[in-house]
Amino acid sequence: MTTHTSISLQGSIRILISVFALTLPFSATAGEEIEETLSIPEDGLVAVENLAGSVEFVAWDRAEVQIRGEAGDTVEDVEIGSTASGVTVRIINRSGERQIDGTDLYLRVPEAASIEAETVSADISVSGSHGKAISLRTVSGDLQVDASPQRIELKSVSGDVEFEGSVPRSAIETVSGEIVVVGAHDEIAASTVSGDLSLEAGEVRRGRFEVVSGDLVMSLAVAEDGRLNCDSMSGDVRLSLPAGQQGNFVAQSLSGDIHSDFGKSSQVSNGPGVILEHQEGQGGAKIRAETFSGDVSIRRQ
Amino acid sequence: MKKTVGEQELLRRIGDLPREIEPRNDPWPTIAARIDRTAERRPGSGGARTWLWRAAAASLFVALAAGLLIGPRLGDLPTVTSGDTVASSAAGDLRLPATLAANEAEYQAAFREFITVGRARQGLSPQTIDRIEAGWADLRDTEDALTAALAESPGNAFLTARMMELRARQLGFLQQLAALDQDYRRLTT
Repeated sequence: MTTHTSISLQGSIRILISVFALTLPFSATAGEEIEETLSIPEDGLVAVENLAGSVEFVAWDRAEVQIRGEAGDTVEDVEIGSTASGVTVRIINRSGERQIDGTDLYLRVPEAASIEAETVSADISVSGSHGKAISLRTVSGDLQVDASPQRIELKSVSGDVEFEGSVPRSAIETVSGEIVVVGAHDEIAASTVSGDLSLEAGEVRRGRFEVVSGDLVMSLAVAEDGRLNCDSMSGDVRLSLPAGQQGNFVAQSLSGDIHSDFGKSSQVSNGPGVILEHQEGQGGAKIRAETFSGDVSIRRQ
Repeated sequence: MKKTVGEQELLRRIGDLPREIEPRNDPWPTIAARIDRTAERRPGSGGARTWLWRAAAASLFVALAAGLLIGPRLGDLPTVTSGDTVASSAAGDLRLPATLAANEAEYQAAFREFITVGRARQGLSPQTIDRIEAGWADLRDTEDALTAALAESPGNAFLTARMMELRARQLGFLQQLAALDQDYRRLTT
């Protein structure tokens, strides 16, 4: 009982320390140099918000975050805070400015740290990280990730998105930007409206890919019990699979063509369009590709 | 700032939740069997009715998503640009399946209030605005093409599914624009 009370007290002290003692506000204004180094847990979270300019994360082997940069001319305040779980950086700009002067930020972060960043027009890049998660969101900036985290979530409106590395869970979304992914596997969801989507993946257990007018070009393998869904409106779907890929294939297009090395397509019996339904081997994988007016191509590698 | 970290942790935990949870018992076979029995008693009904029930459920989901996720977030967004209220489509004039038509009404209501980037427009370059508008134009072109195809083949399951997917994409697009406005407000004083 006494021991239990003692542990609780220690826990309470630890919480108080983490809440009060580790909050270290940093402040800078327009034109000032930003240079700060803070300790965080190796698997802590580094979160950055920056309207314009750039944000660059580079992993290193220290349990510290180093933040460097120069505040843009329209910056009202730079807030850098630390808690027990990580570090946050916010670049606050004055409102009403006709043009925001961007702030370029350069951060060194622990290799196992998770990373979050949100920008409007700032480009974001990450390299060397293998933390739990990387979550990046921008409007017109480009996203570039060369890393091997456990999970990525990349969102852009008009910027391009590039990933290279190894990741078992990924969600990528853009509107008019292009998506290029190399090295994702297991669970992948990616969508774009007018940009093209290009993917070189490993074995996929759950894959969902959606384009509207862009093309979908993919090279991957579907796991034995995997599910692959490819949807396009007017863009083409070009899928390259291992020669020995087994599974159930379904493809349909209303006004486009279907070319497949796995089964043959035929006219839909009770309506417009062409359809392919085919079982290859005994595998339980389900592979589906549908377009409204684009073509579907399913080829053996 | 502490609040922000708390939210991030919460979001991370939400992100860790399983994406799909298989129900212990799948109620659909029982429901489908009941529908089929009902359909057998009605002249002129067939397999399409089973599909329509599925479509109804999906439409309801999309409509609810539009109402719950988007509607409340739009109320305080100012419209900066003139003519941004892109009235959609002749789809409402078509003889769509009732479920899809209901979904259309919800979509139109949500959409009229939604096509805005609010204050964020001043922070975007002309090229970015062009690209956003081009993306939206692509969605509208596709909508027009699908609407025309549905006019020729009303009730076509493949086309109806495409239209519902397109609606989901359009709503996702609009959500991103709303998030853009919120981000811009948060990062300026």
